[in-house]
Amino acid sequence: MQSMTETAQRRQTISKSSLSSIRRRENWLGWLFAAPAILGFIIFVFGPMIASLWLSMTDYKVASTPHFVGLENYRNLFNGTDAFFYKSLGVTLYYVILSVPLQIIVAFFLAILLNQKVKGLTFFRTAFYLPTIVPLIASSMVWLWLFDPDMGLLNIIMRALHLPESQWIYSETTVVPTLVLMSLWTVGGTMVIFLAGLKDIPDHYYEAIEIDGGNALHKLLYITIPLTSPTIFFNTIMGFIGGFQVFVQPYVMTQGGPNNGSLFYIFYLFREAFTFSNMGYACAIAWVLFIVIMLFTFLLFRTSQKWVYYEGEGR
Amino acid sequence: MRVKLLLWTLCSALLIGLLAGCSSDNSGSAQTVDGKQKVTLTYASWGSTNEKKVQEQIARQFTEKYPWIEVKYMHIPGDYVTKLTTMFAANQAPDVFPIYKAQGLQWAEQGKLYNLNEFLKEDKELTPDTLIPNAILYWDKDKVAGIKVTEEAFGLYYNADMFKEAGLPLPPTQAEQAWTWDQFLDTAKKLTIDNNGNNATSPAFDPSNVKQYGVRFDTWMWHLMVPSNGTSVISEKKDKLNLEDPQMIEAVQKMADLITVHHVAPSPTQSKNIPAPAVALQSRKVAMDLDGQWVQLDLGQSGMNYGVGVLPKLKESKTTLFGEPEVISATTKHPKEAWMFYKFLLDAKSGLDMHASGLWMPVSKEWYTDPALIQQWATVKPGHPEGYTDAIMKQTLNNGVNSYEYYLKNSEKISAIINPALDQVWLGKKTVQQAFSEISAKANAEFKGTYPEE
Amino acid sequence: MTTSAFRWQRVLLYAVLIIGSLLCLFPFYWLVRSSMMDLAQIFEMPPKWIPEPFVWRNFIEPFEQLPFGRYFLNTLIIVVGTLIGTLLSSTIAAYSFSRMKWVGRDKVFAILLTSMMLPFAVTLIPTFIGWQSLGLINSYAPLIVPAFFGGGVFNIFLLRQFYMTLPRELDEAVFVDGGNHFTIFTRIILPLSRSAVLVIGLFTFLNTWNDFMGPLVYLNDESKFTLAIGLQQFQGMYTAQWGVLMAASLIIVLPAILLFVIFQRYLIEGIALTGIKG
Repeated sequence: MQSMTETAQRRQTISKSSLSSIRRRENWLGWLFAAPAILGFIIFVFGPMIASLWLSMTDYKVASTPHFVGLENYRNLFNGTDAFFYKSLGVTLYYVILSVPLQIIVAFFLAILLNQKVKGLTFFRTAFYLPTIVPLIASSMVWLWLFDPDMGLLNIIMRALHLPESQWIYSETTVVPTLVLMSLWTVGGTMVIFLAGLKDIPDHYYEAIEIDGGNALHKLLYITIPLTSPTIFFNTIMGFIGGFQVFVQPYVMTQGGPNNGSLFYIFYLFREAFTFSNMGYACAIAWVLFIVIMLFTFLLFRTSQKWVYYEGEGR
Repeated sequence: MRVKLLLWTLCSALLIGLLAGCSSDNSGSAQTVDGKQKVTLTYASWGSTNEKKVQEQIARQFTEKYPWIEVKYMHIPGDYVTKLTTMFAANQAPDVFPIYKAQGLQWAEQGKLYNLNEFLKEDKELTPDTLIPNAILYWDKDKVAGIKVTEEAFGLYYNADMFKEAGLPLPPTQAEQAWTWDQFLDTAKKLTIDNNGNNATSPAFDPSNVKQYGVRFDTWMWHLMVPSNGTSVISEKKDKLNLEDPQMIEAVQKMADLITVHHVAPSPTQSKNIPAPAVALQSRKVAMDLDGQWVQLDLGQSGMNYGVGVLPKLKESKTTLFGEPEVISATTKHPKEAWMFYKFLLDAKSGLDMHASGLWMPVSKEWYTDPALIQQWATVKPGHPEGYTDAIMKQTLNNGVNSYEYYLKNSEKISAIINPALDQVWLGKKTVQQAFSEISAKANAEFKGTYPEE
Repeated sequence: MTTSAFRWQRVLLYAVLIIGSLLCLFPFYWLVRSSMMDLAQIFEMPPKWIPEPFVWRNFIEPFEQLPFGRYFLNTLIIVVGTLIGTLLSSTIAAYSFSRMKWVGRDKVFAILLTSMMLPFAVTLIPTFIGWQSLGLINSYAPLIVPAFFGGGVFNIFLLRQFYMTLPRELDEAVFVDGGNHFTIFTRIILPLSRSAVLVIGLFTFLNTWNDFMGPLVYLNDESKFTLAIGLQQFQGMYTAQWGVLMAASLIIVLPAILLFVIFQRYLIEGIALTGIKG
């Protein structure tokens, strides 16, 4: 770890020198480089966002003239008039809290395994990534069979091992954990991001640990995790944002059932917006989620200063 | 400066946009055909690739007949309502399209659909009298949201070979001879066989290892037997849902008992691994299927020996009707031409292939009464089995009852409350009475009245 | 480390990899199997593992029922357009957000991040109306043009995380040699973050390739449809032609798999940073 502090010191001495004039130009050059993205945000995101915020305070039903109703939509959400709101929020939170850490751990673990020198690496990597490529419209059929309580493969295995059988997605209590389990099949994307991150760790860092007599656990704790912390951070944020917006599984496989056990937030929102045509109300539902996700992200960014290590930022 | 690249990127992006824009917008120019102003209509629909081909054909034939009206057909293969909602929001709705009944009525109330009564009143060819009963959807007094583009009716479909092998009499086709529920249940029991070869009447029957089910039905049809029990999902005074009505509860409980008590029908969980109804019958997973007539297309194509009977009865023989309406959007710029096309669509002659295939049923009465017309569709094999004219066609005309969604306001939202409650019924955790009484207050709070029947 | 312990580790490693990959291959195997079956076989219980007989017709049918070639071309146009836009604009933006210091940088970035937090269901309609007012509905513009403006915050964020791990000294060395930001970007950052750029390329390809909702909402003419919409067409209103659907899925998935097999090599080859860091 010594070499790191050394480079940091060296960096400071250089930045004090004549580079300051270049830095000054960065101010407008930076804006310019970011301009397409900022412009894109203003055109494609900001407009629709403001529109939906305004609609969330109307009784808009699509194609009818929206009437301003103030905060009524929000009141109806929170005062319990709409029994689905808290239910779906609970279901979604449960899913997020269960799935995000699991997905990160599994993906990280797989990435480490697939970063080793093993025979047939191409095969293994492709195999682990494959589930993310197959469209759910096709794979949902497999899942429905696997989860069948009577004839499904999972319960056949459970029976053979004398383990308790489960109703999987067909019971109110097990549907969310089952969908979490299923989501582990598609960690391929997260895994690939980790792989790209792991690749950038120079070998000599590990060699240094080996010379000091460290074992695999030391390597993991002192090299791998700190140096991939930006990637871990990224995947955690994306996991939260994605987890809160799970839609396809309930839409294709469970339709929110049984007994609203998988009434995910976006599914509930989508139903309000497109089945019940309550677009104004749906916008209010969306904005509540927006605030929730923003809070989560904000907290994560806050804590990130303690555990995310950027080589490029002198700290 | 290397900012050039950036500028170049921006410019090329704009250019692509402009090019794409030019190529897409070429409507609105005034042309005349046969001395008449040229009109372009948009017609959208869902459906399989086969249906799509027929729809395109109908649109083409129409333009051949009325050369100044061009019909652009738009096929929406999935997320139908999402796409339509978006188009409505942008004031780009298609002129003519089919829509799910509950959605259609709701949209009509919200002013999105054209009041077809304006045409129906005046039209000499298409009047309510020329249509079969239950075909017109009213959203208010004298306000017509749409007319069913094809009818859909429920019957008792079965694999005839399985009956023959079991030595059982085939389900009757005439309403007067309809099976009682006990007769039906008894047959279903005899046709439900476990892995040891015992049927459901045997004391040794093992309900957890069923190889062949006597009957299957979709749980979204939970209300199938309600009309037959002399009641309705909506109370007689039309002031609430009938969730406490003993007749209604009994009718739903009978369906649930098929699964949870008698084990002659697969639970919703078990059904997920039974193929589509037609294949289930063909591959002998089930012997009978309470299903809509649309299943005939697949049954016919499978080449199997199948038949259809009237539904069993509780008090009186009834069938539930389910056809989805065709509508015209309120924003159409050419209502008169849209109505011309609308009538053309409803004419069974236009989509005769689909009617003959067994998938569609006509909505004009003469196709049910005129023998010359009947033989053009209702007796055409393989999409129409022996007994079809009695069990489905005549039953639709004489004993058909519209599903409650045609009359219940806010029915999508009410269904979102009732269906989860019923989930527990199908699992055998609750009786229908318990499930309904638990949600009765909540569901009735969403009760917003009814649509008129005429 | 003793050799026997080392060997045990290898055995364990391979065991985990083999079991894991079998689990992951299973849905795909099921897809392949079902694509060669007729409806009755697909749902047979207990399930058949090998089709009997093989129903090859399933692979011909998609081409007979739908203009698959046309759909393929359309999809390719959208994918290539989106890829170019995304790769160009997200790398530049990420560079700005990670390696340039300017007033308000992190605040602007935080605001950009919010674009992922509002569900698509409620922004769909305002966005659609926006494109409509430009007269661009039923064109590929709404599907491609946004890629040129940032290429998605996900990608910018991912690249930013990678760029931030690269040591600052690299930039400073270039400045000392009289280079500017553009030189750093093209000569240092892009080559060093090749794997990350490839990752976003892969993701962009797959997302666009499989996107259903976007093309469905923005395209009206069948001649402009994409493969993902074509796939949906096999799921009819009343029945699904499962065998054909599976075969069509397989046809659509194959290019993506092929791409990944080629692509994944670059994840291991890597570029030795050792020399530079020293």
